[in-house]
Amino acid sequence: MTTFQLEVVILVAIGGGLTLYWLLGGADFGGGVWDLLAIGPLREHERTLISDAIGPVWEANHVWLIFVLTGLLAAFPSAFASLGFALYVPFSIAIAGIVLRGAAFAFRSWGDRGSAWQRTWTRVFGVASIVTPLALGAAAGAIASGRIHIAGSTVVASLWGSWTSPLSIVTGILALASCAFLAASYLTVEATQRDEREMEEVFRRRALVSGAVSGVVAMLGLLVTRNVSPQLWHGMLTRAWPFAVLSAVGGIASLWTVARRRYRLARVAAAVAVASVVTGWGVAQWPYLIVPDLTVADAAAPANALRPLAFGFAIGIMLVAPSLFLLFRVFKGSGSESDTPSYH
Amino acid sequence: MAVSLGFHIVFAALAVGLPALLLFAEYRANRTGDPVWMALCRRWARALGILVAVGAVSGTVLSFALGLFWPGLMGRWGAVIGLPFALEAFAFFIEAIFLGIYLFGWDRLSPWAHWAAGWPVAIGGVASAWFVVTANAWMQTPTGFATVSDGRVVDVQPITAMLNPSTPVMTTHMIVAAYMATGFTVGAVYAIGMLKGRRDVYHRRGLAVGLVLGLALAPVQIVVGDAAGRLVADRQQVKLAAMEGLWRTTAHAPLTIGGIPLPSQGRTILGIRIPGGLSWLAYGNTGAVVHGLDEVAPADRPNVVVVHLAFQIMVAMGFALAGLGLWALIVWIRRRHLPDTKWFLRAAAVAGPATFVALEMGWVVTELGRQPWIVYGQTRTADAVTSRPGIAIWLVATVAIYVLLGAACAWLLLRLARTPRETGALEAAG
Repeated sequence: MTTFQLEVVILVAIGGGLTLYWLLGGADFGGGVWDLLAIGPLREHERTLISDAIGPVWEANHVWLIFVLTGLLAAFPSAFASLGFALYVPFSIAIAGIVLRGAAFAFRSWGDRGSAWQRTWTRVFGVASIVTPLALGAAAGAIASGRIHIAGSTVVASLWGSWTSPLSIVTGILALASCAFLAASYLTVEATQRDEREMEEVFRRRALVSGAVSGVVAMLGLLVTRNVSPQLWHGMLTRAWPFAVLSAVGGIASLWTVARRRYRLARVAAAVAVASVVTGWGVAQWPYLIVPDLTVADAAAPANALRPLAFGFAIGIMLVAPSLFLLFRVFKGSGSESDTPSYH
Repeated sequence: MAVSLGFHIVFAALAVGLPALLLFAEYRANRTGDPVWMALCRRWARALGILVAVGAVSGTVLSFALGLFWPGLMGRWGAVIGLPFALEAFAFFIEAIFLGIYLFGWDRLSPWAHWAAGWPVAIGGVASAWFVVTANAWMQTPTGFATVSDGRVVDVQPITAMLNPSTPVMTTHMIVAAYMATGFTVGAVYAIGMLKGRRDVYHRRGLAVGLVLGLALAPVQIVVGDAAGRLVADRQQVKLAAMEGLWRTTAHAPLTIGGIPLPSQGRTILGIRIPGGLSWLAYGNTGAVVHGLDEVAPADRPNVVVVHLAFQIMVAMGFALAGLGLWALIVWIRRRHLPDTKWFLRAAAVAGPATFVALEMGWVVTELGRQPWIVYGQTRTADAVTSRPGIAIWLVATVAIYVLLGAACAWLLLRLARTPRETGALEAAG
């Protein structure tokens, strides 16, 4: 296998990791958003549902981010270093958000119900769940926006400007809105499994609202791309359009299925939409890893380094895939189990 | 970064070690049906839940931080040393997935299936520690590449890099340290309980399980530590000189125990000197020449005062813990039970924090002893660090967040320790 193919294979694996992080880890952030927005008389009930849904899986979901980061580091070291430099601020914000979100979630299950301890950590959990997707989404937009210039080993990127372009703002909001949508649509499944009609309605409504917002923002994103990133737009029109269409179909289908209360189908449709956005993004900016200077081929580590990495990925995925299957089977399995996960 | 790692290491060590104790306690509980074992197991599982949550997120900080702070390190060396980081992600996956199953699956799995789910947690934890430490070992003794005249790195061999000369000893040293820290911490919790008069079977067992793990490993760690020292003597002579406070290259080098290095005068005062001791420890021959700090320019030396003192403290803790083990062994041989006098329990209570002091000091020795290099002999720390502003803000913010989290976590664990055991027994029954 030539180097060229190998680096593409690894990039696809990293893209797959990113898709899964968005679908799974993103939904955990979305859960935090709904947790913060839980204000009505049902708030304690909503929070319990959210906590029970996130509790067993969030750490495993979170590892997808580590997979993406370390995969990038090992396979595309110069891109990793350049992004660390260029996106210093949004990554720093995301780190703070990730740390506080995870710790706050673990801490708040303690303490007495309604105590100051629990209220404080609940607040921290919610705010961090909003900030993190915004920052990560903005960083993703920066990679495509063409504001990170690289010449040799020198990276030129404004500390603030590189990730606050119109494109970054749209991708940041899209990340947040889509996380909220994913969470709400998964929570309808949890609610149906537990036979909680009221909760099902609450989250169905929220899924419809946040899904519609996501769709509008995504269209706005296309508009912005056309106006400010001609290079990306060109790639979109010539190569990536099937994925754009597919993501639109997936998005509309997920909204429609939620409206029709076919929640499990909605999950599949949402996964199709997210996967095609990630793939379409990659295809649109091909051959660049960081627009407009660093190509995938230039950023790739030498073949000697990629071969053991690809081998490690293969073995790793063979171990992780059945384990994940088991995890979701135990906690998110068929509707026959209506009891709540217990954490004694 | 240094603060992040220093923070992470505490949680990571416990997260690596605690699953082994859980497996043991749950095995006993399942075999004997004894609710005390189950109560211990449930209690430790809750603690593990908190520790891994904080360990997981502080570990994520590190994967970001590699790019944020050290673009010069990762851009140049990522192809050589990225592999263990990528593999670590899989080890962590296994750990996190099965931890979810373990912590939340009590009612969803049969007792033995639940017990089995604990194994991947323990193995995944040890494997992630192994992978991460190989990367640090590589920074001490970089191999698996060649450099050409313009400084480019060529002929990359990541497997060779991962299995560099420091890897076997350093990974063992760290994993044994993680188990020791876990054992002594658990022991300390129950020692304090017993000192407060709760001398029931629950506390006795908790103390015994923790201490036996810690005490059994203490002498092992001295042997491993000695091997680590000899490796440093072979490969990183300046670092050894800093650890030992040896200023001039000397044959028949004495071993300095304690003492304060005075950089301005180029000597170490107030230490106890064992003639030829250092030569013998480092090279197995009391007459061997040991290289001193004077072989390199002052700019190429690490901070001798800090490295020497940290090393002395670590070694002192190591021997003190082994001494505690000897005490316990003597009593056990004579009376067939662990000592439970007030003084022994006090010592056991202090041993918990002491292992963490040793852990942090060991980390200081490894990292600061390597300075001014980030990749020993290849890249200087100053060339690898980011040129972005605001490192000071980052540092302050990091310390503030970690102090907050550390305090919150400590408060929770103390609360957990104080919760009356009846709850634990009830949990076990239900």
